[in-house]
Amino acid sequence: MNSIIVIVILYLAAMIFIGFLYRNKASKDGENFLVADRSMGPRLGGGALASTYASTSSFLGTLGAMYAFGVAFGLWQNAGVIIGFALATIFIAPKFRSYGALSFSQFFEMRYNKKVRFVSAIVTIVAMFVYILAQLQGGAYAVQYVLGIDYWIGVLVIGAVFITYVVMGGSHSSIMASFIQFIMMAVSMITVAIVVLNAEPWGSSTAQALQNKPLVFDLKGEEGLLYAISCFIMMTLGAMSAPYVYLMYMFSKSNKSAQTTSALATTYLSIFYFVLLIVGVYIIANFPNLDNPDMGYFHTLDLLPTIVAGIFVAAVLAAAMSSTDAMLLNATSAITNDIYSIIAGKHLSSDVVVFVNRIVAVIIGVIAVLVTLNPPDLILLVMALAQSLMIGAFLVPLVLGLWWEKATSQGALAGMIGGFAVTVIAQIVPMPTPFIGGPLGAITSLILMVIISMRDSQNKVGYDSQTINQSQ
Amino acid sequence: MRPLKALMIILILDILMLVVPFLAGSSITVFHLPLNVFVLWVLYLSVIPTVWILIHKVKT
Repeated sequence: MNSIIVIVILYLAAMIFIGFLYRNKASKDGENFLVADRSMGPRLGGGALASTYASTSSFLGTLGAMYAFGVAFGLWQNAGVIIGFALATIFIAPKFRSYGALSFSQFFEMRYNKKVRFVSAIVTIVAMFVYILAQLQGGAYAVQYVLGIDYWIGVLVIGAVFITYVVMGGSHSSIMASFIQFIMMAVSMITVAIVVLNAEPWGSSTAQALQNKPLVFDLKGEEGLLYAISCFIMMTLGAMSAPYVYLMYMFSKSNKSAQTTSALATTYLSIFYFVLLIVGVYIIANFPNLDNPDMGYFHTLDLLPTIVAGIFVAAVLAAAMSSTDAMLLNATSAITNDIYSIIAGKHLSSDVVVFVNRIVAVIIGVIAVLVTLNPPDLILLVMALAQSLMIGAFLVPLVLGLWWEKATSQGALAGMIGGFAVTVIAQIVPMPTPFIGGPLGAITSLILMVIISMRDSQNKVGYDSQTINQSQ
Repeated sequence: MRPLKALMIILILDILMLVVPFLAGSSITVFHLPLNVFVLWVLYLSVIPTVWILIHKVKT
C-alpha cells in the first residue's frame, strides 16, 4: 500500500510541475491562457481529448452500470459515445474550429448574436460547475475506498492539485496533464485486461458471471430495452454537446488538426470501451456481492504488480482531473470572456486578462472544492440534469449554426431556451426512462429553431422584395 | 464525398449497431459470449476505420 501511495504522490507532484513548467507560456496573453495559443497538434490532442471525455464516470461508472444493469447496458451506453464522437469528428470539429472562438459561447455570438452567447454562457457555467463537483466527488470516493484516506482529504488534495496546475499553466498545462493522464489510463486499462484474462480462463469468467447474474448477457439489460436504447441516444447526443470537447477543438492549430485530434480520440475511446467488457465480466464473475459496484475495478488491484497498481490508482485520479481541468477552463472563459464582455461592452485589457482569468479560476475551483466537501444529496441527479441541459440547449443551435445557412439568431435563441425548458420539465415529470430529457429537449429545440428561422427567412425575403420595389 | 452521404454512412452504422445484435440472437456463442452481445461489442471497432476513411473523403 505504501508503494501505491508513493506513486500517487509522485503523480500529483508531476501535475504541479507541469503547471510550473508552462506558467510563462500561459502568462503571455488571454489566447495563450485560454486556448493554448491554438498550437495543439493532433498527437497530443487526441490523447488529451480522450482522457478529458473519459472521466471517472466512464472509467468507473461504466463498470458499475455493467454490474447493475448487465454487460449489454454498458455496451449500449458506450456505443452511444463513440457514435457521437464519430459524428462530431466528421461534421463539427473542423467547422467549429474555423470560427476561431476564444470560448465555447463566443461561437454563438460569431454565428448568431450576443443574446444567444449570453444564454449559452450561463448554461455552460452552471453545467461545468456541477460537473466539477461530480468529478471531485468521484475521485475522492475512489481514493477513500482504495487508500482508506478520509473523503475530505481526497477532495482537498485533488482540488488543490488541479486548481494549481490550471491556474499556473492554463490551457497549456491542461493539455499536457491530460495527455499524461491519457497514457496512465491506457496503460492501466490494457494491463488490467491482460492480467484478468491471464488470471482466469475467459470461458470460466463468462460462465461464472452468468451464474451470478442470469441476465448479465441479456441484450435488453436488466431494466429493459427502452432504458438501454434511450441511454444510447442520450450518450450519442451528449458527446456532441459537451463544451469541454469543443475546448479541445479550439486548442487545435488548424481545422484539419481539430478533425484529426477528434478522430484519434474516437479511436482511443473505441478501444478503451472495447477492453472494459473483459474487466467487467471478470468482476461480475468473481465479486458477486459488491456494495458499491462503481468501485469494482479496485478489486483487480491484488492481481497487478505494485507499480502498475500504483499507476492504476493514480489513473483514477487522472480520470477525475483530466476532465475537471477542462471544465474549469470552460467555466472561467465563460465568465471572463463571455459574461464580462457582454455586460461591460468591452474585452479585458491585455495587461490584466491573464491575471483576471487566474483569479476567476481560483474562485470557481475553491467554491467547487468547498461545496464538494459537503456535497448535496442530489448531486448525481443534478449531474444527469446538467448533461441533459447541454443537449437540450446547445446541440441544435450548434449543429444547425454550422450546417444551415438559414438558421437565424431568433431561431437559435428560441431553440436554446425551448430545449432548455423542456429538458428541465422532463426531469420533473415522471418519464419511462431517466435518459429521455436531453433528447426531448433537442427535438423541441429543433422544431422551434426550424420554424422560427424559416419564418425569419420568409420575412426577410418579403422585406427585401418590398425594399427593391420601393426603390424602383 | 458529400457530407450527406457521410451522414448516411454513420447513420447506417448506427442502425447496424441497434438492429444487427437483435437479429443475431443469442443461441450461438462466440468467444464465450452470446452472438448478439459479441456482435455489438465487435461493432465498436468498426467505428475506427469508418471515421478515418470519412475524414479523408468528406469535404466540409
